[in-house]
Formats: sequence, C-alpha cells, structure tokens
Amino acid sequence: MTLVKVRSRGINLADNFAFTGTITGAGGGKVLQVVQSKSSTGQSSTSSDLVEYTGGSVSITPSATSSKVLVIVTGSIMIGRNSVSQTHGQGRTKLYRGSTDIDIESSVGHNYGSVSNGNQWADHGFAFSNVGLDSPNTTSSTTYKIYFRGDGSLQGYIPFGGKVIFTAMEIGA
Amino acid sequence: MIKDNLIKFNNAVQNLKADVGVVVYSDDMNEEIFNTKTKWQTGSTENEEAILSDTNPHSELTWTKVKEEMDKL
Repeated sequence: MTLVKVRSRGINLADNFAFTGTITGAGGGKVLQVVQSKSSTGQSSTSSDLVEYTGGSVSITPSATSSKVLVIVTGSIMIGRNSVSQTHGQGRTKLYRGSTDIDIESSVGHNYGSVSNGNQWADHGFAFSNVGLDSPNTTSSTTYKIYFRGDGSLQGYIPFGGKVIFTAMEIGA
Repeated sequence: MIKDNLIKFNNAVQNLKADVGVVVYSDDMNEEIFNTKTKWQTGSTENEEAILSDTNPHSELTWTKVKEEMDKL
C-alpha cells in the first residue's frame, strides 16, 4: 500500500519518505558517481612538445552514453631555465581522454628577469588545474590523463611537490 | 619532490647539446634511471606531441659524459 503525505500547503520536508519506485522528470545534473586517484610519481621533460604524464590518471565507467563527465586535475609544476637568454618561462598542461586531446589547457608562467636576479639557473613552481566537462558517449571504461610541456628549451617537472590529484564525476543527463 | 640530481641532469644535457628533448620517468637521476626510465624525443606529431624513443639517438650524450657535466654544476 502506497502512503502519500500531502498537505494542503504542500509536502512537509521534515517528514520521512521511503521511495521504492523511480523518479522521472526530475531533470538532469545529478552526480551519479565520483572517482579519484592521486600520484606523487615524478616526471621531467625538456621537450617543447607535449608529453604524457604517466605517473597517474583516473578511469570512470559511465552508466549511460548520455552522461557527462566532469574532470578535475590539480597539481604542481616546476619550470626552469639554464640560460640567461631564456627571458620568460611557461609551463602548460592539457587534459586528454585516452590519447585524445579534449582541448582543456592550463598555462602558468613568468618573466625570469623579474624573479631570477640575473642568475643563469632559475626554477620556479606553480599550481596548475585542468577542469573539463566531457561527453564521452560511452559506457565503457574511460581514462583521463594530462600531457605537459615547458616552452622553448625549458625544463618541466610534475609534480614539483605534493601530489597530482585526478577526480572524475559522472553527471546524469 | 623533484631531486637536485634530476635538475642537474636536464641542465647538463642542455649544456652538452642544446634543444634536446628528454623525458625522465622518475624524480631522481642515476645510471640505472638513465638506462631504463629515460626516453628521447625523435620528432613531433601534427598535434605538437613529442614522439619518444627508448633508444638514445645522441651518441655524445652517454651516461659518463652527462655525469661529468652534472658534477660540474
């Protein structure tokens, strides 16, 4: 027997309700699952092209092809130079689904002249974050990772300290 | 935490041969890491991704030579 508590002024939100059926038509936007992973594995690169950070990633299996996935990656990156001719530095991180660039890029940088006091060597750390809302259109396991680079002949290091934290949330359609 | 040895390694490589792309899958550097956890860039894709090789294409960048340069830094 179904018990429905309805009062003349509406539903009393202080009452308890035990749903056994399915609610439909309530709209999307519900967080259906959250997955998180962390890595402190270090990696460096002197390439001015993007390289995959292999120290960590996050995988999520969407429950429906219509779901979206909110991905948040945070961490620290250090960029450095070994020549006074390098006047500025820039480190970049990009979010990938598998081997596919999903065009979520973060960039940090600075003018070496203002912080290195003329020293040949200069290494500085920055926080980075990549936040992307993806539509993977699959119910198969999907892996999100980051690629990074330091522009020019700079060196890039991830993480500078602490951990790289990967979080993926499935959002219902 | 990234160790000084790794920073010295990257600087030593650049001193010996500028603009070399090298990726180290570690936060430290020694001969074993040089031989087993280091990849060398041999090209780029049209998406500006590095093409990496396990084989060091730079004959002048041996562990001995790089270590000598590291010790000067």
